[in-house]
Amino acid sequence: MQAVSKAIAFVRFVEDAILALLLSSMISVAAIQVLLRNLFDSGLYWGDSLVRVMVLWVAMIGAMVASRDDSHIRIDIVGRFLSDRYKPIVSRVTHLFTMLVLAMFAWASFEFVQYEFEEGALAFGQIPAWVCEAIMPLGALVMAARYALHVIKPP
Amino acid sequence: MIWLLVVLIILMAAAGAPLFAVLLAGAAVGFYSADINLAIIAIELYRIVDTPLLVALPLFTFSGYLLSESKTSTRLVNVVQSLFGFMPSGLAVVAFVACAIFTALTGASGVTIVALGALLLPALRSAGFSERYSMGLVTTSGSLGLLLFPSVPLILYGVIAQQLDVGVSFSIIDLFVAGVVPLTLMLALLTIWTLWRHRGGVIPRVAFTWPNVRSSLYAARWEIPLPFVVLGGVFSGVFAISEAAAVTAFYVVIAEVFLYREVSLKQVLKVMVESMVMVGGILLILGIALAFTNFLVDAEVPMRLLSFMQEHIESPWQFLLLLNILLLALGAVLDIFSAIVIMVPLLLPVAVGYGVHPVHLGVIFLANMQIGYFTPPVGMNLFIASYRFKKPLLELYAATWPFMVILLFALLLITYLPSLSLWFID
Repeated sequence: MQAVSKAIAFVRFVEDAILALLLSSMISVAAIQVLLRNLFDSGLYWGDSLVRVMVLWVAMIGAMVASRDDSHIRIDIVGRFLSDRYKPIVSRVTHLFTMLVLAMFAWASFEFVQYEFEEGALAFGQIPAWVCEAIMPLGALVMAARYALHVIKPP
Repeated sequence: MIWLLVVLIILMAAAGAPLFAVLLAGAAVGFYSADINLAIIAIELYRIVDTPLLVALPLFTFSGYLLSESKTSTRLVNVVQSLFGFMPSGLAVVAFVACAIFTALTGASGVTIVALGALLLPALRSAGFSERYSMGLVTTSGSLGLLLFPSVPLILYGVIAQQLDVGVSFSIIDLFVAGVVPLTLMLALLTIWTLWRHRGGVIPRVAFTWPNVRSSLYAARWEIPLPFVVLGGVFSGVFAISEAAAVTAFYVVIAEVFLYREVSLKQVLKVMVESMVMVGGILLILGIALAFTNFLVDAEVPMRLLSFMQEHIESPWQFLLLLNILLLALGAVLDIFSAIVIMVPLLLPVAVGYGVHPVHLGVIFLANMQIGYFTPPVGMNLFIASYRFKKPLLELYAATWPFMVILLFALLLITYLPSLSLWFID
């Protein structure tokens, strides 16, 4: 059990670190681009593409972190008026639904990544496209696992 | 079978499943029923990478979070106070202007009420404004400024509207310019009403002094260049929007961490993670919503909706009125980001069919959402103010309704006088 909570703590640390790293690099690369273009009339030719891929990574990893305590945006119409007796049951059902949908998306996006891997498509420079896309199935998988845990023990 | 799934998805949405999961399930059912491989959803989500404008979202959000972590709110109020405080009912005007600017910077996430409200409420009370007026002002002004660049909902609307390709082209800058007059109109109407309500010198005037201006400007010396650099850069064409966002983020870190030294590096890391979690949630929903929208467009849903509407509603005026009612209701129940990603793809083609310009629709949309933030029973600002200031909701309903009437009047003007938003477009 202790190993599990250690592993969870480690994953959390890694996610936080990657998020901070991604954002810092986005700021730096984009700011350097502005400087290079306006002062020296040049630029990093892969810079803009890299920053845009980072946006996707931020989206997925940010969403992974939001799944820790299920703090995603929701249209909570019924939940607000539910009595405390039914709340845990209803939230278990919605967690199960979310988990299944995520598992479906993990599989669908894995197929896409696999296809791009076989095609050998390049995203920018020498970076293969599948590396940039891999965050989609990976993120969906982590989120599905978190929602599976939420079904067992709601946050 | 398909309809059973659709009903299940709607039930899950109402029961409080995350919005991204609801949209994901909807898109999956749609594509599945059209015999399209579900990998299409991943392909569509990956289109985030082809949208340069989206880079602005995380960067502006981070800057807003960082600004609300430091004492920017105090300095902002002081500057505006030293400039406008001498006017009759000056502090109220100060509060409107400061809230609008702060909301534009932080994106109406409720931060304005928490950061500025706590500052303005006691100040308004001691300047002689009634408890009720002050509460009403603070609660309703928490969403004033949604129409002002660089508010994140404004950028989000632009991203979605441009993806839709409805045949009327516009640049994202047009949207920023369009919001200025409507916002000024709101501020003017609120000010006029405030002056009338406190006529006869109920509120003592404060003298205008140069030393006050000088000291407040000096205190804010590192932050004052920011709007000029960003706005100047964007409108002169030196920066793209995404670059302006990067420069802002970079500048804000330098100013708050190294020049003011109000935020430690450790706090910066915390703010980075917090803001990116918020952005991640929005971007994921946006990416999936784009996939869902493509399915809707393929299935010709907006076109069918338009021809159905045109059978029953002939004049654009009736359509606009209906639109306002619908959006006000939605604004009260949905949060602004969900409302934008769900409703804009459906409404924009219909609105264009009625001859409404996409830029005008954006202004109408956000003006409605702004009011939705404090529409009873569930407007978000009401809850935040109730929680923050320990006031019962009913008291807040009573305090906010005059403000709501004024802003609804402004909304009508904005809706039915398109030239307020479109004066600069041929």
